[in-house]
Amino acid sequence: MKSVLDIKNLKVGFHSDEGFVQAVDGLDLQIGEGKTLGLVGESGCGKSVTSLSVMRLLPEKARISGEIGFLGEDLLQKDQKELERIRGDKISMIFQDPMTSLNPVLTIGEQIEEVIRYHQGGTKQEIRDRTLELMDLVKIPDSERRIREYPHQMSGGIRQRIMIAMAIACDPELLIADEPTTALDVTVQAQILALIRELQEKLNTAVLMISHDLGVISQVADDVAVMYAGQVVEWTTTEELFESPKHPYTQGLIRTIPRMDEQQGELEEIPGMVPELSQEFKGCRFYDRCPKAMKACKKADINLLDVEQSKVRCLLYSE
Amino acid sequence: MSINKTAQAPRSFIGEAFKQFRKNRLAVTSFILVIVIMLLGVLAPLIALEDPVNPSPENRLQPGFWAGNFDHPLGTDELGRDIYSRIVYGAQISLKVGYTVILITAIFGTLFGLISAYYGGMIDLILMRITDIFLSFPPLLLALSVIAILGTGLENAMLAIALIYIPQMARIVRSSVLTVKELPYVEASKSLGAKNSFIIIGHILPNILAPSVVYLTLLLADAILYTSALGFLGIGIDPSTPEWGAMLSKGRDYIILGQWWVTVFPGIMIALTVFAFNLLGDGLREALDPKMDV
Repeated sequence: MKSVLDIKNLKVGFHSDEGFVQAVDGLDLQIGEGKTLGLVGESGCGKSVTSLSVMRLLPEKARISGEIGFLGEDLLQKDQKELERIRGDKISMIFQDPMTSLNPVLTIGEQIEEVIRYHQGGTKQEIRDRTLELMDLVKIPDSERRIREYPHQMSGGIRQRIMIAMAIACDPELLIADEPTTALDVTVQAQILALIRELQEKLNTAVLMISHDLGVISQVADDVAVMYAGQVVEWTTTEELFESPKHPYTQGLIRTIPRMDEQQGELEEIPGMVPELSQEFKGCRFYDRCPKAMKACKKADINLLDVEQSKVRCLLYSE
Repeated sequence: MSINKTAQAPRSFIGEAFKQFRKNRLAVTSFILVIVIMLLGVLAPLIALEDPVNPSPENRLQPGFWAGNFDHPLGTDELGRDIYSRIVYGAQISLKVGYTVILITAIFGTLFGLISAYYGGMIDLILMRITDIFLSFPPLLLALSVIAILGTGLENAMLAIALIYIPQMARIVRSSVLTVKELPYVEASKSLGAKNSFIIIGHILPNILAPSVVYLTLLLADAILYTSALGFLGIGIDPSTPEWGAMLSKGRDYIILGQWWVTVFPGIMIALTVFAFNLLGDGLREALDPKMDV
């Protein structure tokens, strides 16, 4: 299987008031053509930093190293001009909050048309036709009228559809969705996820779906990578993840999902807090919160181990 | 709150602003006043009674309509020129100065502010320190020094006044741009491959338009006032020019002698014009600034 995105040993850090923060530390990920990879983790575990590194939209002070392979080329070696051509054309992104991700003073049409004009060009009429086609594709009703309206005249769901239309305007190879449904209510959320899934199949786009919500991931992803404190702790197929989670952190996450089919008393939680990323780590980063911690866990850094079909960063599975 | 308001009324930003403006009676009055002053200037050659520059010494210092003199309704000045005609032509000059100054200021202020805020870093640092230098001079002194260097004349006076405002404008634009450029839709636009040029023209300029327009309207009043001040000081403008400030200054000597009309009418005009533009600016601010829309 050809891989669209192939991240190797990605490290991203920032200098802050509390010292150097290693937000992403040695991340490896791959997404195959037309596949969806879900990236899950708690707030501050480095999910969004990962997605912004792929877009190369991090602030200039960020320190990035490693390799972000995209269709055989390393994105970290590209200059601004090349990146402008790639962004929106080959890789595009759907943001978390559709309420603020659209410019309030431009009409919907103008904003979608702009993307097409950059990357594909064409006459005014061609661009307009393509815009209407895109709006139909993301199922915005009454596109002829909507095209002349402003973002504030629309609901969150419709705005997110517009963001999606802009993102798929140039038929990208990779679509990054950074918590695309967090700002929407549950029914709209389901519609948007179904739409992303449907478009992905139609356009054969690879998707990197970032979320803190395992429920969202289970609906759309083929593979899942679980992140904890800047590292991937488990990487496997979605089925495998829910059927037999390997890493104690993943097990904890799955236990915390409220279930409809069982009587439950109190909701489960994982005790403790996410560790500060400004510290030096030795050994397992989940050590302090892990119910199965052993002495050996603290001694040395742990690599991703192959366990059945999964990759797991945990000593429980070492020989 | 503004969010609810825009959600209820699906009309354009301009339409909403216009509605807001119309509700403000003071703003509408000032708008009409501004139109009248502009008409005075534009129609000056038609409605003036006499040539505003040619002296006729035999008519000097005549009182106006209150003394039954309808040939010169507002009286004549120390060289026998009709004050009414001079005021009408003066409107032309004041407005010309005002508009030229805000045009220069708008262009350069926006340019410097944009560059400074958008590119940041060293460019920002250097441009902002230069504006600091300009802002540290008392405005009138700055204008005087510029005129001292460039020589007198209406063009140089306008340039000198513009130089007072460019740094202020640059500051205002810079602060607006700093807010706008961090907004999520600018990042979203970048993620879709937008070039800097589109981000500036498509996203940033439309969003800083409202504060800039308000500032420039208020500035117009100030510019007229400074022109008058320069005229009053007798620099910047040829003494024969029917400039309101210069007229005021000439009439100074005759107030004590009882010939008050030489001073009072240009004074009223300056006050009225500045007042009208200031109110117009306030009205525009209320209409355009979403934060004041409560």
